Amino acid sequence: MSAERITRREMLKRLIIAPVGAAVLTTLEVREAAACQQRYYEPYFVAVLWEGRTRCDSLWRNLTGDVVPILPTVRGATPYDRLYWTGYALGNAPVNVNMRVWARAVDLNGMPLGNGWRAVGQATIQTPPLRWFRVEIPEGHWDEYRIEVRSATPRLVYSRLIGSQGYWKE
Amino acid sequence: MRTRPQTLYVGTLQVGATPKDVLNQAEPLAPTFVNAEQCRAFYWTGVKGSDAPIAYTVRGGNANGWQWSASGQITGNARSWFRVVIKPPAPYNWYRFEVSGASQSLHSKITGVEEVAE
Repeated sequence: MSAERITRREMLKRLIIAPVGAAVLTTLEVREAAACQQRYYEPYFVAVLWEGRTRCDSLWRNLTGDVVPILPTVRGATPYDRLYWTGYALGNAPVNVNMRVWARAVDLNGMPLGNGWRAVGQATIQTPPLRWFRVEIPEGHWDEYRIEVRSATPRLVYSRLIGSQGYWKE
Repeated sequence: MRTRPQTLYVGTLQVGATPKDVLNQAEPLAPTFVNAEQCRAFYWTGVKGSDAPIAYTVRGGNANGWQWSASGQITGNARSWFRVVIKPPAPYNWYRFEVSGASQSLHSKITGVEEVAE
């Protein structure tokens, strides 16, 4: 068995070029994996709406860690056509994380128009260890989103939620 | 051209058998929005008051009359969320968002996505 000593920078490079596992929201129309490959949609602006780590366990948890269903993950998402959630889980075991996406609209004072959320979709992310995953949330222009994760085996997930605005060439 | 969302309407309407727009205007020629030529899409979201479906018609036109329309139904249980996406085939100056159906309240919001010069 041989050991290889690599720098932190080299490790990051290897992580970044590792193949990407993609999960598709099961209740939604499947779209292309990458927005730039879509003939009719060309993003011109992307913004990081949330970034951090989430300790997943058997409860449905917001990416921010709470289990309070009224709290959103992100607010002020109205301008974005689409959202993308990317990340990876620490550990040597294969990843098997359930996720679901909720959305709602708010009035001019920031109060939700109604109780609860609209279910946008759900998916199961299954990837080998230390592989990146990517989920596209195509239902854009909601004001607030809540992204929840759950895992039978406790995992630490590092992830980022990106909103994109683009040109439409329909 | 870039896009910019704009909240055009937030409110509650008492839906009834008589078709009315979201501003509670029963006059079929009355527009809900004017000067909306820059809007290339409308995102109509909200919560319906009862299980009964709500029929909607969106019309586009100008002071000379309506030139385009799209119809459909807003379905779902009481207090459930809905979302209707309207993408008119051409820009119109006037739009009318009209609903009718069994008596219930409709709490909704209409966001117009405008095209703006860079």
